[in-house]
Amino acid sequence: MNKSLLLLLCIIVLCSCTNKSIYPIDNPFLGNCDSTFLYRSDSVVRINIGGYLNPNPSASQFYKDSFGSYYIMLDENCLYLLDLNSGKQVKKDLSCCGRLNNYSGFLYLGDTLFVYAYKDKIAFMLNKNDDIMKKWLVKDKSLSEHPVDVEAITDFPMLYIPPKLFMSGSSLGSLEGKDLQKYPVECSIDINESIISYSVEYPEQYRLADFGGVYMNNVYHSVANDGNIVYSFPTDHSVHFYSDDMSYKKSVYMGSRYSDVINSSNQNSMELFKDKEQRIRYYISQHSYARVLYDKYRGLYYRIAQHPLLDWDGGNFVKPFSIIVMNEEGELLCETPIVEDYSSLNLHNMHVTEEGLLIQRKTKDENVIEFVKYVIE
Amino acid sequence: MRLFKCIVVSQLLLCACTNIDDNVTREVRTLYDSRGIVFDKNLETCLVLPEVGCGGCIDGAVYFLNKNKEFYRKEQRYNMFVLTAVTSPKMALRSLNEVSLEQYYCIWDSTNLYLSEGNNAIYPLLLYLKDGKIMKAQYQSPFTDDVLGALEKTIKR
Repeated sequence: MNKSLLLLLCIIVLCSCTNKSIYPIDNPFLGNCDSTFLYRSDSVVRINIGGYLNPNPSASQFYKDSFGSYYIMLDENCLYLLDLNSGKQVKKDLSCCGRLNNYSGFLYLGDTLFVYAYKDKIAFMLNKNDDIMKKWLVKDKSLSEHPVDVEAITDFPMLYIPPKLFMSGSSLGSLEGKDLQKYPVECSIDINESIISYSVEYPEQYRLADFGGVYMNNVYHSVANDGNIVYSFPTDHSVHFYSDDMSYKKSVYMGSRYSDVINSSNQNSMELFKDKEQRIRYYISQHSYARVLYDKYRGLYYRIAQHPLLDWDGGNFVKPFSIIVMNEEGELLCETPIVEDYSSLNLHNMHVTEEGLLIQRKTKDENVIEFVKYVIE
Repeated sequence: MRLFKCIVVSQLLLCACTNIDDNVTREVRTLYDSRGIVFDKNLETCLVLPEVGCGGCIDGAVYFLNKNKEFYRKEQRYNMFVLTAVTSPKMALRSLNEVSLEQYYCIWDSTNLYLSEGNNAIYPLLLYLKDGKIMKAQYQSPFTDDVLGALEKTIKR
C-alpha cells in the first residue's frame, strides 16, 4: 500500500513538473490584401471633458439623435452626456443602480438606458427620467454550473436587438479538458418576458489546450448585419456569427496576414494563472485577436489583430496591432498595420460613428479626450 | 553525549531568538539599494502606493491616506508616502481629493524607481525605517494581515 502511494505521488510530481506540449492554431490562409484601403484621417475628434472626469473611461459611447450628438461616459456612479456641438455636460446620477465599478457599463438609447452593475451582477432598464423600470440578476447558477460573469465596459459592450439585451463575459482559468458547454459566454435577456438565457461556447481549441486563462479568454462581440451577433475570440482566426435567438449560423475567416500561428502555453496552468508576469509574457509573445466591430454606415466589419511585443520590460504593455476590414459578404478587403504609434492608441476606447472608426489617442492634456479617425478610401 | 545535546539545543535557541530579516524585507532592501534609493535619517515610515487613481486597484490604501493626511504634512519628517506607477496624474489627485500635493511630505515617482517587481508590484508597500535604513518591509495584500491598520496606530502614537 505504501509503495503504491509513493508511486502515485511520484507520478503526480513528475506530471506537474514536465512541460505540456504546445497546441498551434495555424492560420489557414494568411490572406493578402491591400493595406491602404483603411487609413488614418488627418482630422481628429477632440472632446473637452473638463477638470474632473476620467480621461480613460472604461465605459463610454457615442450617441446621436434629433436633439444632438453626444459622447457619453460612465464615471464613478454617474453618466455624463457631453454635447459634441455645444460642449455642455449633462450629469445623470445612477446611484439607484448601486455601486458601478470595475466592469460595470451602460447602453444609452435615448428613451431607454440599460445599466449593468458588475459588483451586484444586476442589469437595469431605466426610462428617460432615470426611473428603474426593470432589473434582472444575470448571474444564475440554475442556468449553468458556470454562470456568465458579464462584463459591460466598452471592450465588451451591451448590445440591444429588440426585444433582447445581450451581454458577454469571459471565463477565467484554463478550459483545457473542460466541457465547454458548461462555460457559456453570452447572456441574453428578453426584456419583455424577463427571460434570461446563456449561450455561445468557446471554440474547440480552448478545450484542447491552455491559452493562459486570462487575456486569451476574452470574448468580444458586436451587433452584425441582419440582426445577427458576431464573436471574436483571441485565439481564433475566424469570427463566428449567431442569430438573435442564439443559434449558430456560420464562421467566417477574418484572420491576419501577419499571424501565421497562435500557440498555446506549455507552462503549468496553475503557475501561469498565479504568476502575473509569466502570464503577460506568454500573452505578449503570441499573436491574438481582439475586438470586432460592425460599421453599419459602410456595411463593413473591423477586427483588431494584435501581434507579439518583443521588448517588454515590465509594467503596462500595448501590443502592436493591425486592423482587418471585411465586407458583409465575408470578403476581406484590407489589413492596415499600426506600427509607429500603436502604444499611444487606447484600443479599450474604440467606437464606430458616421465619421469612421474612432480610436482614442493619449494626450498630455488630461482634460481632453482625443480620437483619431480611420476612414475608408 | 548529554553535553553535545545541550550545545545543539542552546544553538538552536540562540538562532531562534536572533532578529532574522524576513524575505520581503531583504528583497526590498536589496532592490532599493541597487536603485540607489536613500532615505532621510529622521524618516520612520514610508508608504509606497502603486497605481493610485486606477479605479478599484488600491482603494484601501487610498482610503487610509485620505483618512490620515494630517500625519503626512510636509512640516513633519517622520512619515512619507510615495506615488509610483501613476498612469493618470489627474485621477491620482482626484482619488486623494487634492489639486496638488505640495503640502505633503511625499514623492511623485514619475520614473517608477520605488516600484516593486513581480506579483507584489500592484500592492501598497509599507517600510519601517531607522537612521535611513529599512528595518521592515510589508505588502498590504489580500494574503497579509492588516498592515495599514498597524501603520495607523504607529503614526498616531
